[in-house]
Amino acid sequence: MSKSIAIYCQNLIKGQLSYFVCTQLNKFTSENVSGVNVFVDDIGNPCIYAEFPILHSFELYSFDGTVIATDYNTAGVLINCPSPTRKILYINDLEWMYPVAFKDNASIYGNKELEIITCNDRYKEIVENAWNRKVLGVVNDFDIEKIMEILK
Amino acid sequence: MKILINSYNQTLRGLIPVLQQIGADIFIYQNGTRAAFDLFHEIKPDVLITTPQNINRELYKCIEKYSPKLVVINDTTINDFFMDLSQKNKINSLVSGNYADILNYAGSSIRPELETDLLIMTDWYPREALVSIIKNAFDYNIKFKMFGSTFVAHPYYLGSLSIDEEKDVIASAKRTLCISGSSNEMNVWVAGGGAVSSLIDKPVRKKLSELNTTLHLSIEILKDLDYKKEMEQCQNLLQSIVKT
Repeated sequence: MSKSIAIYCQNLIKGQLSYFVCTQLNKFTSENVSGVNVFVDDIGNPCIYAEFPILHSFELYSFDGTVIATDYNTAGVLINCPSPTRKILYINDLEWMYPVAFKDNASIYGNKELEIITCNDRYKEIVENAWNRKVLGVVNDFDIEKIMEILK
Repeated sequence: MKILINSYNQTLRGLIPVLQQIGADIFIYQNGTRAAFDLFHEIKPDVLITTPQNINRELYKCIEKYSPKLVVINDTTINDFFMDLSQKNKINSLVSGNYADILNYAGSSIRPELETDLLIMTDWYPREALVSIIKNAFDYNIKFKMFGSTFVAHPYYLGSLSIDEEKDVIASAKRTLCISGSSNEMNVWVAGGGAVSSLIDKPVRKKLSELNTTLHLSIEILKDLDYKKEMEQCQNLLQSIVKT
C-alpha cells in the first residue's frame, strides 16, 4: 500500500508544510521497510535532512499510485496526470482567499476527481460549506500514518 | 448603427446585448484608455452613450465636432460640460433608473455545487456594509457564499464570476442579498433566484411585463433617437420573451 503512495509538493525548502512532510516521512521511513516517494517541482535542499526518495515532478505522469497534492498549484498539475489511480488534495492553506477567478478555483476545489483532506476541523467546515462537497478526513500536521489509515 | 459606449456599469452591461440583438455595432471605451479624438475619427459613431460624470473636456469637444446622437445614462453626479450640453439641447435621450437585465440573466440553471442559503455579491456593496453583512451571516449561523469582482480576504469569498456563472450562482442560491429597489434585485428575480433586500425575507414578486427591463430601456432610448425600425425590433423581442 505504502509503496504506491506519493506526495507532491512544490518544493521541500523551508516552510511549515515542508517541515511537516520531511519530519513525518523521515519517521515513517525509519519505522517501515517500504517508503513514500515525494515529487517536487523545485529540487532544492530540503529544510531538514531527507531520508526518503525525492523525484522531479515530471516523473509524476507515469506514477500509477495514490498521489497527494499539497497546494493549489500541485493539485492543478495532478488533475492533468493520467497515471495516478487516486488523487488527493491536502489543504493546509485556504488558497482561494487570494484573488483568483471562481472558474479557476472551482476547477481545483470543485473537481470530483480530487478527494480532499484538510489539516483541521475548521478548514473541513469551510471547505464543505464553500464547495458543497464532503471532506475525506482531517489530519493534523501531515501525519502520514493517519493519512494512510484514511486512504485504506 | 454604430454606438460608442463611454462607460461600463450595471445598466450598460444589460443594454449592450439588447443593442447587439438589433444589429448595432458596439464600441466600448473608458476615459484615459485611448484618445477620444482618434476614436471618434476612426469610428465616427452615430450614437454616443455616456454618463454625466464621464463627459470631460476631450469628450465634450468630440461631441461638438462630430455631433453624434447623445444618450446620457443619468446617475447622481453632474458636471459643467453636462450642464452645457443640456442647455444647448444636445442630449437626445436622458435616462435613469434601474432595469432588469433580462438578456444576460435569463436562462440560468441550478447547479448543485453552487447551492447555498445566502449569496452575497461583493461588488454590490460598499466595503463597510460587507463587513457588517458577513458578521450578521455568522451570527445567524446560515450557510453563505460570496462572489464578485470586489476581492474580500475571507474563506467564504470564492472569486470573481463571468456573467454566465453569475446567473447560475444566483439561481442556485436560496436567497441573494440585494440593495432594495436596485437593478440587482430585478436581475436576481430574472435569474430565478430569491432576492432579499435585507436579512428579512422580502422576495420580489413582480411580473416581467411590470418590470423595467433593459428592453424597455432600449425602446425608450431608440424612441428618443428616432430609430423606428430598431425600436420595433426591440418591441418584438420583448413580446417574444414575455410570451415564453
